[in-house]
Amino acid sequence: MKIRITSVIVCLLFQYIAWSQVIYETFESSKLEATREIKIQLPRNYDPEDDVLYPLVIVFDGDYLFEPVVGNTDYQSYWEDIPNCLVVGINQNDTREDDFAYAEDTNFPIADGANFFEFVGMELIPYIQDNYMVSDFRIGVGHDRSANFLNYYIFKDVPLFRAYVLLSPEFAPGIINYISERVPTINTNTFYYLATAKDDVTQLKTEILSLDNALKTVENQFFHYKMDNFEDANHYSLVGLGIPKALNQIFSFYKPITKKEYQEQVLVYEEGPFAYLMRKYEDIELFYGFKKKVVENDLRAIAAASKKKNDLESLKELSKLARKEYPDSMIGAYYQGMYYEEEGNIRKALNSYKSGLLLEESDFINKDMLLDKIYELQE
Amino acid sequence: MKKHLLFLCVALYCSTLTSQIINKELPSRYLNTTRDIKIKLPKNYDAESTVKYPVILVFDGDYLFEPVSGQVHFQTYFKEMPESIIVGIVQGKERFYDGYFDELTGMPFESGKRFYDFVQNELLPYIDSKYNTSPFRVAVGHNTMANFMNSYLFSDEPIFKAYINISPDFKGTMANNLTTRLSHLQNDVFYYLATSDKDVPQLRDQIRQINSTFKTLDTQKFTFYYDELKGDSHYTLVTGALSKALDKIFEIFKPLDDKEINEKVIPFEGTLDEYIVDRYERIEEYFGISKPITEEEFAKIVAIAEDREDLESLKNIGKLANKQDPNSSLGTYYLALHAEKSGKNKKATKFYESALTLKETTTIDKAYIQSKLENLQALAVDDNEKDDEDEEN
Repeated sequence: MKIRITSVIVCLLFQYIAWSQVIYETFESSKLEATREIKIQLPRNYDPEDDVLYPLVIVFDGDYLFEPVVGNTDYQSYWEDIPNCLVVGINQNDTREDDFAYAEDTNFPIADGANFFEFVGMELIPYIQDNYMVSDFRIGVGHDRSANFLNYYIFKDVPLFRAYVLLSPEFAPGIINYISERVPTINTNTFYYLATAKDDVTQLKTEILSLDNALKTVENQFFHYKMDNFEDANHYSLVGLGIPKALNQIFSFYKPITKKEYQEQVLVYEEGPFAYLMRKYEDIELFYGFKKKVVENDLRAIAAASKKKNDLESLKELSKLARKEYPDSMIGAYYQGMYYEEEGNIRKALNSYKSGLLLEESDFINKDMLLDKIYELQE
Repeated sequence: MKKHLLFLCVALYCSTLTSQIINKELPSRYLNTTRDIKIKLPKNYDAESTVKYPVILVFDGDYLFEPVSGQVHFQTYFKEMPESIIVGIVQGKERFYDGYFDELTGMPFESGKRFYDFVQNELLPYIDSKYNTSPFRVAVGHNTMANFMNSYLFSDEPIFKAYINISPDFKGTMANNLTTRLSHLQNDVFYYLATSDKDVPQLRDQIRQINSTFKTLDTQKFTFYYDELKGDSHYTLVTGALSKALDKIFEIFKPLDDKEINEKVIPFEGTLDEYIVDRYERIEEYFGISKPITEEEFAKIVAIAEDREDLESLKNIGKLANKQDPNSSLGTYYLALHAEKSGKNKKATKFYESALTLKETTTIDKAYIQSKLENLQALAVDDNEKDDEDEEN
């Protein structure tokens, strides 16, 4: 009987993972001397055996903020505008008041607030790192008082987060001055996003705008800043508008090659299109601290540029890369065929295209395209 | 003990299941295959309860379902909209065939028509039979599928009440036909339209043009909302627009706001008690929630009645408030106000006096009524008023 129960549980757990459902956990915290509910959303197709590391998004006020963040990361990563992310929400429903407590004299966390501060940095994040495939690129998201609380992490020598998403923060007194003083000295790439709205709570809005005045003139290459003041929104409805803007900003260097980038940078890059691609992906890795798998959109762009510039060497390197990155997909075969075709080696080109017929179709390449190529070459 | 354990497991399973996404393969005779759908039920959904929930149908559920669920969770947390059942249709590589249209009219054609029938005759009936659904159905679509879902508007009784069009790609004469159709609606329709200044230029320009036409059609039956986001592409505009759309579409669930007051209440042709009663009946019908009219809303429509010098409405609102709560002084106070405005000071005095004997409300307290009375008495020099209409007594 016991075995059956265990197997039921195992089955259930397995289902969760297969569906990439939200995982609900109860965390035993010694810092808080209590248990704390957390929610975890794994990326689509998450594979613990793989060596891919995902950015970690920590959502404060996870009782209501977790779901809209997850909706946005899922949507934007579907379009490859941002990487797949692992999102963790902290439930603060009954403890908000205590969690965000700060001292009246220093305006920094005290008592339960200090415990909560340590819980996130010393218990929760290490736990997630031990159990899930997450990178060191961490994003913190907060609204109202939790957004104020997020700032405290920026004052550490090595800040806990690389990106701070502050949705209509309710700053503790004096905090905006400390932030303005801290920002010029930041020496790791840090993203800072602020949102307010026309119908936001007036007092909050005033503070946010005055911080904005201080931050927008800061010249620090490591500090990446954006502020939105939404026209037709209030303290709550700005949340749904701010999250996508923040994610877009944070991952602005991550995006696939755009038309503009193709024309203004890829085509004119001196060392050739393939070298451009390599540099772009190295920059991404350097910047975000995790590797990005070369997306099909970028392979297409580089192939087009190589053909346009008659850069056979670039096309050759690209076809090798495509094969290495997508061994089971038609993508590898297609670009190899393209290279041989451009080189004038029709026999090898035919073989390459044919070898792709039994592989998996991709977003852009299907069986018909390969067949067309084959008929074309056989004529 | 073992039984307990098993029970615990089942209970745990059920409780987590409710807030999880249900994935289902729905067999379809029209499509001659099965179709994957995703369903998310409200938190603490109880099949035995009589509470009914709106249905939000999400086309392109592969990528639009999750952001819709996220936004719905956020808004229901703050009671800005009723809890809802969200259904997403996975379309994947079938998308082209699902949205297949007639080049001339933009209406569903061949495989598109079969998909149309699947949604109307198989999917929605299935959801209605399986869950406690209310008649308020919302359709959400992006790009081609937004064009597709507009075709449901052309039936006599459209199956959706609300249409969230995110950067729609209107095909053929769809936009023109809609203009004609929307000016002859028999049922309420809520219509949301969004683009962005950085949207695909062709779509953006068309949508802007449609906005300028549709906004002139805004009538009692047709409620129209439009947003043009800033700096977003055809794809990045989606989640921001969704949050705005859901915020606006469920407007009637929220207290009366300025838009509704200006566009619907002030120009309303009947008396305002009818308007407010109808509004609450619709809330009950659409969202399965029956709630008393709040004092705040009474105060709002009374203010409008005073503004438009509508004494008839004022009298009826007073009666309505009395009917809802005869022990409260609110209704009697409004009747007094009506009598006073009609120049019948004697009667007004009588009403104010009887209001004093009833329960105070948050805004109308005894001191306030007393001051009204004193005002009247000060004016009561001229006493030749006629007191002929006594139906209120």
